[in-house]
Amino acid sequence: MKLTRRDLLKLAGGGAVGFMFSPIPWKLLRDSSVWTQNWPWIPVPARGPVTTRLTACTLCPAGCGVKVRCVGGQPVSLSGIPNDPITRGGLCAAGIGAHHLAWHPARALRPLQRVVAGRPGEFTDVSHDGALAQIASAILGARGTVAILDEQPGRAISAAYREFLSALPRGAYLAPPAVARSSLAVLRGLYARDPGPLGHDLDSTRLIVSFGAPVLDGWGVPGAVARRVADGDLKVIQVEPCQSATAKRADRWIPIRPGTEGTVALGLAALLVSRGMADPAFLKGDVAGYLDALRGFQPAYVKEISGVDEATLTSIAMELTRSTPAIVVGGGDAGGGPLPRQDEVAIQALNLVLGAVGRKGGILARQGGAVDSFPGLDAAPPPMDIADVPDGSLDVLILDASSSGSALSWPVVASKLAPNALVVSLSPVVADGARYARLVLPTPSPMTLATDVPGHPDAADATLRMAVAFGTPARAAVDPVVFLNRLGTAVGIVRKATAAASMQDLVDQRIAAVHQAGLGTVLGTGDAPEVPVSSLSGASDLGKLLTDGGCWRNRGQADSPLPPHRITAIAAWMQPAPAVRDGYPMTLILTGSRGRAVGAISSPMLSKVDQESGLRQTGQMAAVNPRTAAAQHLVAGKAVVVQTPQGVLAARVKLDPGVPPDCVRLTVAPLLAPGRNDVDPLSLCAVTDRATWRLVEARIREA
Amino acid sequence: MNDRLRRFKGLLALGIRRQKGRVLFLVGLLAVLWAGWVLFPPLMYSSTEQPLKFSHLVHQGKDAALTCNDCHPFRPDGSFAGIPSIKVCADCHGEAIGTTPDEKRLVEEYVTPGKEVPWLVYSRQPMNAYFSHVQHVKTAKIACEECHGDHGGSDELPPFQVNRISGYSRAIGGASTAGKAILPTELMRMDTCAECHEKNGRRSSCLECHK
Repeated sequence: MKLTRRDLLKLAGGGAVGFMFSPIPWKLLRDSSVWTQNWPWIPVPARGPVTTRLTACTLCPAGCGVKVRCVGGQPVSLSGIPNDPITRGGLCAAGIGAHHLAWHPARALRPLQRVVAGRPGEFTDVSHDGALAQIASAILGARGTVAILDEQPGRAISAAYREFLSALPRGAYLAPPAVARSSLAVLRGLYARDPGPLGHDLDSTRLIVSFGAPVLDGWGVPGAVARRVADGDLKVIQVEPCQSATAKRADRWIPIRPGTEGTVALGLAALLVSRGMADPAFLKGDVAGYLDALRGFQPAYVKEISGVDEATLTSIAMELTRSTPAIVVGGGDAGGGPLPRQDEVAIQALNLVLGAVGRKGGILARQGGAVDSFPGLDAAPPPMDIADVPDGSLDVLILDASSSGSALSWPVVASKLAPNALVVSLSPVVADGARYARLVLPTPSPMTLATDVPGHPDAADATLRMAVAFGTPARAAVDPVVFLNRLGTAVGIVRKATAAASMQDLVDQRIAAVHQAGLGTVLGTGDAPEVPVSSLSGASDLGKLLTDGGCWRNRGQADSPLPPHRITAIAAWMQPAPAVRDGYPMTLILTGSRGRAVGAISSPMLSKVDQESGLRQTGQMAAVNPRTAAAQHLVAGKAVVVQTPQGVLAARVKLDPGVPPDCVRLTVAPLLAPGRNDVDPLSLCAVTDRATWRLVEARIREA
Repeated sequence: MNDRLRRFKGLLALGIRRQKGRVLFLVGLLAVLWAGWVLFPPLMYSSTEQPLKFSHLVHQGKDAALTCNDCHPFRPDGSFAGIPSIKVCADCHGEAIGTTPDEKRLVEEYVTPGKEVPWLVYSRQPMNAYFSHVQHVKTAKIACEECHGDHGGSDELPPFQVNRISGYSRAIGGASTAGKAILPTELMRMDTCAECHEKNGRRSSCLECHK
């Protein structure tokens, strides 16, 4: 039988069909995909004993306790500490992936220098010595201000920064508006003289009325709030224009027109005062001007401006007086920029009207002792708000890599720089502010440097934990204390109070100071007894307890005397309805989740879990109300361009009834590909009213 | 009879000639299916013998009467000890009890110098998989045999097979070739875990095992 070409083709055809029904292609595909995960250059934890250690998270000021599971000494998984007395087992998504950041593709592997006239994020290599010489030369030749921007003031390294700057003729220790102008900093300004640090005492609070603060999305110490809400011990009323993650989980969401938070707060205060529900002690203060101003905020006016009717306003007021202790919090959304100062004053004045300050479950005087100060630096001023720095006045700006958890728009920083100013970033990754810096000096990644972790500065209970170093930092990473020492030598500055050879050395000094003060107790986890610091024989005992996962705590004082309050900032509270600018009929609202509302980096695991699965939007999704979409003929999923006077961003439409009509919402989130094609939504915003970038005029059109 | 056979052969030959194309297609199909299902799977794995012959059956039997927990205990902190260290073997085999050459080697090469036996672990999971024995054995009361099969009753250790491409043990490397376990040691794959969790209404997130 002769085989023809056609016969061979048929034989091959049968073979091809059989091939598809055999395991050969599928097994090879599957095994090859596994093989790609095991290439020799992919780091894998060494085989070794499985151990568990407790440490503290350094990614935001909350300083949550973290349980670390290690294999062969290397962290492989993080979780909250279930019986932690402060965080109650909570740990946010960013914290769970903190150990991945040491391997992030955007990490700085060597000192970098920005390419002249290059785009943000375009760098070339430079030596440590070369970089240091440039910084020293810029500091010595500076005619303007030399500043350090620290987003987590209160750490031991922060004290070293302050001392270094105090030795310079024009040194300025700066913090972002979200920190320097926090809600409680505003509240401190409503007293005749500074009452000292204040903090929220949330252990027995029964109601929080939040004006846009992400109370259930990473605010404060996230686990503590979330657990009380889950247990039904704490109610939340969320007042904000968009239905945020907190608004979805809150007991009530009160939608308001964008930018009317202050009006609603004043309307509530007017209602409480007019119905005799204000705290009698409040009325005895210097508040005549405030009470006069409140007369203008009758329910009809509040409804006209904010859209909140009298019945709703009354129900919130009744709830505030019924569910005591209650507090009112401001601060706004983590991605949307801080609230204007006048709105914060209106919101914090409500706490005084309610008598929430000085009451257990309200706002208490914080007794931080050696944690809120550093020995020898007690007289040092608090950080200055970068928004208060004159425009174009900074000759040298050093950016510390810590994060406040809230977004800081780069234009806010850029507007303060002098022409040819030197911006230096001390950062483990080339992202966020580091992309705009002229020099990037790599610092150890999170979890590779032992450091102190003071708890949330807005908590009534002052706390201190220790972050333990797991493994060694990258070879080129420089300990910030060592950097400061070398820079000091180069410019002739000798630090005395914070003299230390390394970060560990500096942290040991702080622990010694806490021990010497003898205040507070050290909390263990689970059934471990609370140990008074005064009972410890030496600082090394305190250091060991903290390194083993203990948490130093000093309770806020409910009976602490406060100075008389005085509310005088009443100008510009009455506001007309916002005018619509020609060509920009919509309002751009930015939102973001706390801790991740930054243009920085995120664990690749998180981008898989929430961004790529759509659980959290990226800046590339433009959410609009379905009614607005219908009016503008926008279809879900369609490519559009969001345009503001400052820039454009390509996005896809998402329909969301939680967005107010005539508004478009973009999310500030870690960029999936920093420095490539992603556009940071913050770049669309004009910076107004002292570093606020809320409510930007915008339009949306088809791409 | 011969006529009938001849007629049958003739018809067959005629049929083959007439249906030559279909027949060749079928031949190609069957040949590749046979190669894929019979020849290919063993080629995917390299086999290595364990350093010593070991009989679980003997240790479980009347003479020794050991239970799984005697050699594979939970540590006081709840973690699982896994393969016993040489000290556990030395408790009984400080000197040879029997007459087998492998026991002699155990004593001479490992127990006496205090050296660990380099056992090849069939069930060692990849680094990205977290498995808690205590959760399954103590809390869920799952018998060892559910996942390890009758490994405890085996008289000899099967060869240790490693996938030539992925480098994983055959016992754990993803779905088995047929989608079902073929070998008794193929019971510790993710599919098996997922199937059991689904069956018992224990729906888990990815992060529960992949931490």
